[in-house]
Amino acid sequence: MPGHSTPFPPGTPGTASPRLVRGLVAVTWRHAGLIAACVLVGSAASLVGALRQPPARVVAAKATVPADDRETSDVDPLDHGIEAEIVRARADLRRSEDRIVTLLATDGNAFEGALRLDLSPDATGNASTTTAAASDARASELPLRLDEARPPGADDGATVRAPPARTVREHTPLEAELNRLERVRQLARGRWVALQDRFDRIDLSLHLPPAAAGRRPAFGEAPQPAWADAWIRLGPVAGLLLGLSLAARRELGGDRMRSPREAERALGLPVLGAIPTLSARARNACLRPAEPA
Amino acid sequence: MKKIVHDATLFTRIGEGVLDHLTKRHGPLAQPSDGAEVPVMSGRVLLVSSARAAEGKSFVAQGLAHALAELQGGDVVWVDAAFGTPPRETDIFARGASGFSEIMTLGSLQGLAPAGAGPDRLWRLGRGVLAQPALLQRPDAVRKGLMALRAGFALAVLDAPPLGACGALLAEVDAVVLVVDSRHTSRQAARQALADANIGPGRMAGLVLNHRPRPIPRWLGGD
Repeated sequence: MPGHSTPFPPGTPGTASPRLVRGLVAVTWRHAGLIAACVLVGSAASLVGALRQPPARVVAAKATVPADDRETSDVDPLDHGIEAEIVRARADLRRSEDRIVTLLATDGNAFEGALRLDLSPDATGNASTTTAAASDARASELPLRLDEARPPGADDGATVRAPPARTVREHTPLEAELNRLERVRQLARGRWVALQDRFDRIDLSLHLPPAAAGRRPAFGEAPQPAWADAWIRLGPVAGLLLGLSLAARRELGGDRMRSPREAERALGLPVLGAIPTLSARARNACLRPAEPA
Repeated sequence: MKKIVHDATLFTRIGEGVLDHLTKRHGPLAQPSDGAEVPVMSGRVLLVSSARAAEGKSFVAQGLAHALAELQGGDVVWVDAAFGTPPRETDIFARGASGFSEIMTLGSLQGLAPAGAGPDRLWRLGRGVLAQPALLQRPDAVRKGLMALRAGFALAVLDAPPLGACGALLAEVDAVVLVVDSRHTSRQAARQALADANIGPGRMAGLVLNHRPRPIPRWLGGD
């Protein structure tokens, strides 16, 4: 049989990809400046984006809340941030205080016991941090809240004038309940103060220069998360793709004549010359007389 | 050592193409005043135009006039005939000097000045104070202006407005060079402008592709 048995001569299937690759290289060559500019912009954007993200060690520190704390929480288990833990601890403290106030308000005789149970300022007397001081300030408001919670017309003066005997009162169920609630309140207060201090130290380390921050204790040091690396790499790649697509659009789109051969074919006129884009200096040099050799 | 920033022979090659076209169509160029054997008004007029505005006509026309003055022995004049466009800030003829429009109106070669930088045989003529786009639409005025140029110079290179605004110039010149900006001018726009101008096939000397993109090397599949 003469010729080939297939309409495609040998080698035809393989010609498409070299042409594509050659075209891609040619487009890259011609629009190298545009592509480089897009890659630079993408790199800059990714760098800015990475800098705007919170440092990885802080994210890790905020995520490393003890597991037992999470189990006792009634908040969304997926939310393990330290800020959520602080809110939770403060709610627990508030709840315990409310229970104490409610209990004391229902029985005016227990008011003196509330004072003895040290509802106001810190039992240890050393409010070393601002958080502890804030906690003490909250506790000092408890008698006022108790006054507001008591039924109108109740005579608290009578309680002061005639206090019940302590030996009897210590064994009453009310006193036991008060003791239990006070322990719960102290635990909640301690947890809130500890979490808030930890959060404050993390914030402080964020505002220190790297050298100074390095001297501070590490909070849940963790390896750089994968998303940070991906974010930094994504910008240049996205810029490269954008540059290639813009170059392809400029190359293939429109109806312009980009080469002398195209112009000759399109207009049917001989091409006398093709002038590249020249700088002002080069343009002036074109119009100057030739220098003697 | 000076850095080479362009092809120094660029306009020389373009000028050779133009001279070749003019020689084939009209015979060799000669200075009108040289001897009795040269007829009066034997000079040739070359029009440099484009399909759209701002495609680089002035640059091409000046470079071409420069190259043509070096390539042949007669006087060459570069004429600013782009009446519709505002003059450049650096143009000394924008300050009230007479020029091509006065020649079209009065028929005398006033306002002529040496080109300064360039060959001795290169001259320069501004547009003049009477320059109006409507003046180019009057065949008698155009004919009068071109007759004066033909009588005084071997070759006049007209830096003209776009093809659509050339008016009577298109019918009177000897050759037309079309400048095409590869960045902005589409095939359709160029074809349409050429069709509307209705230039005879023998008078189109050729085209100059301006702002050509970076050529692709042959080893990358370029032409």
